[in-house]
Amino acid sequence: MSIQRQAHDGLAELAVPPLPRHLVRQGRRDWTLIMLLVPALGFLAVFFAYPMADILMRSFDGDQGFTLEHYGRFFERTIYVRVLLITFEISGSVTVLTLIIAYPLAFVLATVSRRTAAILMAMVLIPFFTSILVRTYAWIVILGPEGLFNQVLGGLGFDPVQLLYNRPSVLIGMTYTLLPYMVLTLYSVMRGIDAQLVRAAYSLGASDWNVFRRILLPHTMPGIIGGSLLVFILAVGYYITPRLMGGDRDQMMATIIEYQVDLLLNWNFASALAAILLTITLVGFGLYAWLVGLRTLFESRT
Amino acid sequence: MTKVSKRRTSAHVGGKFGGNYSRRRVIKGLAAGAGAAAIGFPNIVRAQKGGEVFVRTSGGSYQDALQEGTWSAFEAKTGIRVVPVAANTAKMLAMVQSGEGGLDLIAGNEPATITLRNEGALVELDKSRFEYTDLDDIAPVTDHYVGYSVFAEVLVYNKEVFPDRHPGSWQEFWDVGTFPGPRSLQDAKAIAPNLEFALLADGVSRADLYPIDVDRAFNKLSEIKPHIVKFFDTGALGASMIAEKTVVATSLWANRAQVLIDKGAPLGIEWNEGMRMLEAGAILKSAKNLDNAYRLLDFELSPEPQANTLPKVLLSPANKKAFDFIDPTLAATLPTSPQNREIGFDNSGAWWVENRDEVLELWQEFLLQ
Amino acid sequence: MARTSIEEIAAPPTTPAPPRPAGGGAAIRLSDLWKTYGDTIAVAGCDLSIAAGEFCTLLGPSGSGKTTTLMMMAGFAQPDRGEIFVDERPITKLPPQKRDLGVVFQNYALFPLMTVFENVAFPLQMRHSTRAEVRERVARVLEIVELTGLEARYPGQLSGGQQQRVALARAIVFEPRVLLMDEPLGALDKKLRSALQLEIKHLQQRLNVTVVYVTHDQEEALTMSDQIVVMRDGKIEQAGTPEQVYDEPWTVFVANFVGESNLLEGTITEIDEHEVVIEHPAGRLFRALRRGDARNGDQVRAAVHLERLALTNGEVPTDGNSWPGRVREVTFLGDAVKYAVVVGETRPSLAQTLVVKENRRDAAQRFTAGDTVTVTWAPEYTKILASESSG
Repeated sequence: MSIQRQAHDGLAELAVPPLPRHLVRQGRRDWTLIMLLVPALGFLAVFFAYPMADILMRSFDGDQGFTLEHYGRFFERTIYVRVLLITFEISGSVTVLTLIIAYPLAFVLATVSRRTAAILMAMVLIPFFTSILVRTYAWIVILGPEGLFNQVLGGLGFDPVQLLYNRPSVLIGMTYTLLPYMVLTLYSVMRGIDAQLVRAAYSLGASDWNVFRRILLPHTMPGIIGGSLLVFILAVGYYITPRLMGGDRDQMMATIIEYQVDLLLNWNFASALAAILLTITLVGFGLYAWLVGLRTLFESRT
Repeated sequence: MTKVSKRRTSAHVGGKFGGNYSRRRVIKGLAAGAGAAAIGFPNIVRAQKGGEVFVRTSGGSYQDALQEGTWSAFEAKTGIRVVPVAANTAKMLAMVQSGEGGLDLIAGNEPATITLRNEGALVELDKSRFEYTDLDDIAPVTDHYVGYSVFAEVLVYNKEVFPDRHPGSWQEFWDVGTFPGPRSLQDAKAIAPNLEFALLADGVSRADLYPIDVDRAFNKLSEIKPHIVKFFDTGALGASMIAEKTVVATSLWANRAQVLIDKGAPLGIEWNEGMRMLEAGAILKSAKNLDNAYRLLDFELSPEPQANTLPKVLLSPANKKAFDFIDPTLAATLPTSPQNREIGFDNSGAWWVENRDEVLELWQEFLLQ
Repeated sequence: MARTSIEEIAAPPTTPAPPRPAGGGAAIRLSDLWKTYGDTIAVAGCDLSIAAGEFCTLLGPSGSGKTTTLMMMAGFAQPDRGEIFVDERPITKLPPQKRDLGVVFQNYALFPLMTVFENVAFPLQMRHSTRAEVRERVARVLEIVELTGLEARYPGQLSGGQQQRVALARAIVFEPRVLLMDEPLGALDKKLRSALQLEIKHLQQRLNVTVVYVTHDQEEALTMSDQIVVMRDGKIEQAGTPEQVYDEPWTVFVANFVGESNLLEGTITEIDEHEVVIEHPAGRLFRALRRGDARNGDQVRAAVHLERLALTNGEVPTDGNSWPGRVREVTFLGDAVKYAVVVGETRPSLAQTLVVKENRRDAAQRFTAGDTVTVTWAPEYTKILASESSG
């Protein structure tokens, strides 16, 4: 086990000598590393940091210069806090739903042969090569009054039901589009688990439930937390699906930001809303880092 | 980044927020990105002989009608290429504030146009530049925009659900006992909420709609809300919900409904208490092809192009001379036909410009209730 | 059948473990066990009986089916045919968690997120022991494997040997009927391996637990086992005590896998009470121990371990086999020297190389390549092998 653990350092091995001689000299090496980072940092600076800073600036910008009125307004009217709560409610539900669906799926993917896993994985991923808009419209067709569901219901002699433009349809649409993120995160963690641990647990008398609770669950926890965080953060900023599939009450933060930008042209307030959303996301990350440590999010453990 | 803005130098802000930050620069950047995206567009071929003009479009059958009835003739006549561009109000405003251009001539509903005017985004029109069009024939003509067409928002219902008696007024639309079934009405994102229809349903007469009693209108909307599947936030959604029988009745733009009917949807249009709305033409301040924009606007407003274009999509020309070129039986079906005039009413763009923001704020809360 | 419980041996007995009861019923028994994976036959009709308290080693190269056999015992592989009995109760249909067998895995399979204590307590918790009982028994077993004080460590913080002991402790703490061990020392270095071999053996004797041990290391098998089962291509090649398997190999395979042997072919020309005379194709004769079914004229093969041969350049004993030859190669092994000697050089096509392993008693190296020598060995160490297709 210890031998296997040392076997793979992957690219991290590059960080320690032996390196080509000219790279080993300290100054040159730092320089090389910096050069390697330039494209990424440059891209982030132009397309992330700058707009982000702009949004922050804008959210404090009023007629008389610096102001907190946009933030004040957020808390003045219950509607925005309510939208925030709805956003959490929807994102939380979607996170739980994706977890419930993705966990057994990822488990199957991790236990079948690599060949079968590749085929199953392709089935999970291929729909995601098409645009989210197309996929959302596909759901609208399926759930529509003359869609698949209602045809089946009709065939069984039931009256058609309204499946669109309500909370369940938002959850269906979002769960569907966010599922692969959860599956992939869980899968990579599960692949890393030593199958012998499961066998060992059985040999020691553990029931299926105890194998799950005492072995699988703790070992997949980084994947559960990482996948949930990822899905939650993505869900919090979701726009297209709630807009197209949601009802009048399924307003999320992104929807009302768009409303402020497009209809009310109140970009400063929209910026404040975006900043609040960003802060919540960062707090989420912070919480995760504090609870689990960010490293587990990016490393799969064996 | 070293420029110091004179406007914002309050003490507690200092250089931190005043100096380094310029809204204009940012928008400039955004629009530059939009421009760069447009360059890749295959039908934009620069260095045409007569130049080009960028026109806002809402796409669909309306754009087809424009291409066929107006733009082709214009291109043949002037050699100026017409390039349609999709944009919403926020994007247009960003274009103007950044000064990057990308759009010259725009047409849009009156409240949106007035909003742009109030933001200082529109060119003050030089009336002397109009050659093909006698502006006296156009209603309305203002400093910054002119009427281009008139469209109507009407009650649309499913004929299969209501084969004998259908809701014939907004009061009946609200009467879910007599006319049961799910409904839709317009969301704020698609022009504006149907406050006028709510007041009519509540017994206000057409003459007394404006100024709108906003509270009363919202109260009446609350009544119908449990029966609303979803307020349609785009014309496309409104059309698909009524076409697919998700709802049995809705407010909708007559031209949209007509497209569905022409395709065979079993829909009926009730013109009674229909609301006529103005589509206005204007030129953006950031226009890079100002002359071409004037020429196209001039041409678009002239009687024959109006007559060749607008009735096809059930719109009324704003140029009264255009009716000389329209078959009277066709004219009778348009929003401004004498009969429809009699039973409908005019939307007040002026009221909406004054009150739109307040209504929009209330609307969001109303949706969540 | 006297199984010593952990409680009883908490204070180590001063006297050695009682001898195994003779003729005790089989603790674990395999009956005509078959297992195929696709086209590959992993286990082909294994019959095996392991007595209670016995240390039985399944020995064989990789692919011989020994691990598959063990996994079928543990319940992680289902046999295609055949039955497994524990205490004469069939367990073939039972899932692993109901078999009550302790398993020590090749890489230990310690739970990395649990402490040593939690690892060892795990099987007891699965059996719903009370907290006090768990504490007590874990403490005792950790004392036995000499890990007291390391309860709060995580497996990652332990050395390989310590991890091994935790795995062992975890597998015996619930006093399983049989302890199954799958190459448990494979990942350790040689020195630690030898130490742990003895330790495991002693522990097994103290607890008097039945062990089925899988290894490909013949030395390990010889050191630890009461019974060695040599496996090859899914079949049992030979089973017996270490002495039997080493001294009386039945087949070429066993002769070569357990220890190193010289192989001699020939035709039986003479049979007397204890010995036979075999004529080597090169024309030379040698004597071998008689096998019951040996007949005149039989083509046979015989094996003799390297260390049973001796070299001399002087007087040749008259009562044994002796062949003249020439040293071709000398290999220095530290504690011993290996000589490759070519005999029958006059007819190169029939020449045979005999390898002689000589312990070094002093610094002198007696022969060098090219020396003319005589190879001598005793007939009693020359075993005729069962006829088989050569492998």
